[in-house]
Amino acid sequence: MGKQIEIMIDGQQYMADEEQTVIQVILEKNLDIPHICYHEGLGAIETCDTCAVSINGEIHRACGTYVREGMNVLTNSSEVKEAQFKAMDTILEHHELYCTVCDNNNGDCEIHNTVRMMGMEHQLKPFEPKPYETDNGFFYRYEPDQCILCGRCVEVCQTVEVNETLSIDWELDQPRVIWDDNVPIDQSSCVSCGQCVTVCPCNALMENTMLGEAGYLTDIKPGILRSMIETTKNVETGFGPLFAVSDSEAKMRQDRIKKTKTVCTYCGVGCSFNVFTKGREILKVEPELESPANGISSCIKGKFGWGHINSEERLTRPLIREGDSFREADWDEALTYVARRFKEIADQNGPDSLGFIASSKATNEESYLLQKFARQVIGTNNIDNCSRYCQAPATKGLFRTVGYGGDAGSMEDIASADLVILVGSNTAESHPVLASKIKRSHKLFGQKLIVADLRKHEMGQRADLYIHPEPGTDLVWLSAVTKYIIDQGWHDQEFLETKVNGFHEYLASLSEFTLEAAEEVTGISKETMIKTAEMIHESKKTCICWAMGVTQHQIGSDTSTAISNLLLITGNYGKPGTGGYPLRGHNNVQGASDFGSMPSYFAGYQKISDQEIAAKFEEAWGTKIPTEKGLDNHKMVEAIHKGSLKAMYVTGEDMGIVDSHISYVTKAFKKLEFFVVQDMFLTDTAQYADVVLPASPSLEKEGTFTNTERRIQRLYQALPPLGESKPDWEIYKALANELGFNWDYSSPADIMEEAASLTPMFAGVRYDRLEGFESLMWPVAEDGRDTPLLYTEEFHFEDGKAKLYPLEYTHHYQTTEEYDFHANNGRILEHFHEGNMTYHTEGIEKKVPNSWIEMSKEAADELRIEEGAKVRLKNKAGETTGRIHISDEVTGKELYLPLNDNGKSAVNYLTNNTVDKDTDTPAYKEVAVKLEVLKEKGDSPLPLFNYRRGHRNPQPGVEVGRKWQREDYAFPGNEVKKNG
Amino acid sequence: MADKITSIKRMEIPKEKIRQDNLQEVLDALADNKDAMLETIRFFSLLHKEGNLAMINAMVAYQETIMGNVSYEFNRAENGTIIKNLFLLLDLLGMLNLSGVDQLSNRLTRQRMVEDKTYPDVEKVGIFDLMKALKDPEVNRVISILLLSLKGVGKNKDDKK
Ligand code: SF4
Ligand code: SF4
Ligand code: SF4
Ligand code: FES
Repeated sequence: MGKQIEIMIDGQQYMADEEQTVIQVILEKNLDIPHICYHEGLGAIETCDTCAVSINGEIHRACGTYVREGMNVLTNSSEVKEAQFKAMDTILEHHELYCTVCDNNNGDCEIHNTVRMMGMEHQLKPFEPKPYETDNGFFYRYEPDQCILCGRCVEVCQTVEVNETLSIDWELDQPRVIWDDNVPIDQSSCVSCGQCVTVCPCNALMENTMLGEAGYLTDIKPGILRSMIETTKNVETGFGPLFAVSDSEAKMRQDRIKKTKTVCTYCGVGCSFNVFTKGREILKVEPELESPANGISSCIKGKFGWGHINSEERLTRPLIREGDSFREADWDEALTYVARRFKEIADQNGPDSLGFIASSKATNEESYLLQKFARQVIGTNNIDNCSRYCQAPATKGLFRTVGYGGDAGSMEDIASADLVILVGSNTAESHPVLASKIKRSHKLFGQKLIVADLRKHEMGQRADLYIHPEPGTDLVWLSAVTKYIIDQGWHDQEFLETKVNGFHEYLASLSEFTLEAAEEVTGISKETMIKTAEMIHESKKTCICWAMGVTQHQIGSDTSTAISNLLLITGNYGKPGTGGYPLRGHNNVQGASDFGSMPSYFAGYQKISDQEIAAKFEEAWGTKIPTEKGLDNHKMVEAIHKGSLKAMYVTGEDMGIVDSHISYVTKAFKKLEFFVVQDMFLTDTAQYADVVLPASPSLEKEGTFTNTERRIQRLYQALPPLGESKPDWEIYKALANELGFNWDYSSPADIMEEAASLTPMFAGVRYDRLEGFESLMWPVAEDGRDTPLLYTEEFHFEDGKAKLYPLEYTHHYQTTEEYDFHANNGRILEHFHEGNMTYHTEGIEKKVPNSWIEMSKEAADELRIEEGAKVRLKNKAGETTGRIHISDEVTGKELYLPLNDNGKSAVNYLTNNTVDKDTDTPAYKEVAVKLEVLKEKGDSPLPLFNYRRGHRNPQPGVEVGRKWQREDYAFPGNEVKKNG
Repeated sequence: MADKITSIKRMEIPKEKIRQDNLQEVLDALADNKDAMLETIRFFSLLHKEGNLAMINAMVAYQETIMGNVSYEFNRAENGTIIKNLFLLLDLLGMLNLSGVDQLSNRLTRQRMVEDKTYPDVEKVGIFDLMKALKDPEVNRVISILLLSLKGVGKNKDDKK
């Protein structure tokens, strides 16, 4: 906030903030002003000139001028109008108004609305087509003829998404938007985030799914379309009647196009959007300025990856195993059968012979209900969720040190930090929209970036300092850096004295972590570690984000703890722009645990062993609940092998492919007496089931998700459930009632009400506080106050003080002489996880049809193989084959295997049973293999139209200065002066 | 011991049942939208009385062709019979508040200063309420063709003045 000053607009006095531009004040006061290129999320671009106003007697762009004390602004004088009209004339020279037959005419076309608002009737300069072809990409198309060169798309690509693909080539005879150095969309570095399409003010960039679909008259053959456009122009007496018709038609569209707010079903960033549907068809997905986590941003999956919704492979009826095939059954039969078998097994072998797995893709309400089902209806604590696969160690590390198992602040804090450290996180591909925020701060606002990762991926390439540790040794360099900081006296003494316990004990434990010892173990030079310490010391605000590169190790919990220790030592908690951020993978990984699907906690991490708490739940649920900790999902599989677990109910989780050591897990499935799987598809896991229950995805139900920031957001139902599939919560409810319990929730709101009443952390969470794009970040007090930033007052322990947690480094994973390659693995941008949802989207399937094995040039040379070579990877757990992609992101004998694929290269054939010693999270990242060459070269596994083949074209932004330098450019404001 | 299986025996649903279900769905929709349906029926009987229903029917069946023809006709710039007929039809039905439309076009000319007046409310034109009632996209589309002709209508009116 700057100084408050007074200015005059059209003879009226207004208060304004010195940091505002004239247009911001005008819009804030709800006054009318044309503006085509200005967008609240992008700031001033200054390309369109339509916002001309008179400032102290001279014509200026309102978007490019800051307010000053005593400024006199006129928005309505004839001079101003003339300048605005001239600017608009130039725009319409580049844009044909055929609104009635345009798919963008949905009441929100900014050109249409501006022309209308200006009361403009005729245009003086005729429309002129440009000499370029339409570019039809897989997901969106560019129509040069309609492009007004406002540059919003460029600005968003260069400074918000920061993928740096788009620019306007201002020096061309006819300027246009270009991809990279002027290649077709699909051969460029474009990552299909769709943000350029979202911000385009007109129909120059459109989602393919909108074309020919949105309007009543837009689905017409090109020839007829052309003649209709001519018609429109011929019979026109002016724009007025044209608008009368097209506005009416736009209104009619509203009648059949439904707009529903939803939350992304993929990663933990938790983007929210409006989804536009016509019948069951998804026309487009549009992030909005008010989307709390993402604003106008999205990634390829959230924007375009919805093919799973209407996929023909969706299950539409319950399936019951009969001999060697499944038989479709009706719900009555399936539910009765499941209920009967659950009861029989529980009666015979005790309730602990059943196990339940909640889905991190399902809603909070559904997580709550499934754990209630396990505890109340069945009477067991054998309930867990997939955060075990990735996130439990991070939570553990935070429980040990600061008390809450969630991100310390919001993504705004990460964006505003002086220094961001990413450890074991390929953020640009796994959490794209968050990565964009970091890239933006780094590119525009001088934020520093340190990346520690095996791969020098995009974030590593952008980093100020890139660190390559030996696999699994992060704990060591982190501790060594911490020790060095203390040795230099750079630790935050006041913070440690007043807010933290255990300093001396911790300090003693650090003695073994000298720089020398660390260099030896991690392979990171002393200088690099010192540089890291210096950078932390020089920054006032540091955030550390980490992900599965840290957690999926045998010492994942300890490494997470080391990160939190480092932050405590440097006082980086509880202030804006600081904190620890475990980046949650799935959309609702956070919520699935928060709402109680864990073997030792009720909702809100209330211990089942605490008698008072247990009593509260027992009273509310009217049953006795066992106080012993249940089995986590790793132990459940073990228990099946041992014979003590007889039945399992797995929901929305393809354990048979995502769990480590696939063959061990699938062998367990075969041993189960009774196996129920609930999913959208007949997944690998479901194929072992006795009963498969068809569930509905996010767009077909209501509920809430909690993103990585602890932000609870509502999703609304956009479509009815497909066929006879049902939302998970309805299935749980029906099953509970079948087993004699009287669950009478009429909607997820009722479930949330119950959960909130029993959980202090969610005391104030209510649906009416979450309407539309509203959100709440837990803990939420009864009166609705939420907590975007944790630990501002105190840490989440009895005495309010954080704890430094001493660690030692005992374990060292290494490749061996026989198994000499390290098989690192993880996600890629386009697919979600193993891809069982994203493969249903045609464009994604085309861009990334299969997985591959990334290998360094060095290793390939040594093996004498080339791009496309076929290899077999093998170890004691199993084997897999794949094709080689040579990449400079990996080094030496470190391979990278993307997780996406449903075929043979599933990396989990190679993972074994080793787990994090504290949480049982599989050590997916500790895989040593031996490599056998099957074929020396072949076709590249990467299609030609994959963004990894493109060449980014970084620019500061639109560079409007280049436009102003053109011979044929004159600022309309000056022209008006000249004439007048 | 349960092995992996992938084959699914689909549920056989008797034709009669499907018919029943479909019928029920239609009845439900009718019941849920009673007022709208009655409006629609009134609208159509009106069309029928004026002998225009057959024309609309034909238009539904040949919409692509008609659309092309209409455009072609329009493009000949002479306001041909089609436009005139449509104009008459719409005027006859008395459902269009055309004055609103031409006011809009007359008032807001480039030459004049923009006055501080609100635009005439085009949305209130009676036909659009009826549009809402017409959920069938095919019918809707044809009505849209009529709407498109409005532009011609606007011109007609202008000419008369
Ligand atoms: S990356 Fe591609 S989709 Fe995203 S803004 Fe840039 S050009 Fe548009
Ligand atoms: S394509 Fe880009 S420059 Fe062209 S109109 Fe759209 S946002 Fe503006
Ligand atoms: S996958 Fe993640 S980053 Fe992409 S749109 Fe969804 S929530 Fe946002
Ligand atoms: S809005 Fe100011 S120049 Fe475009």
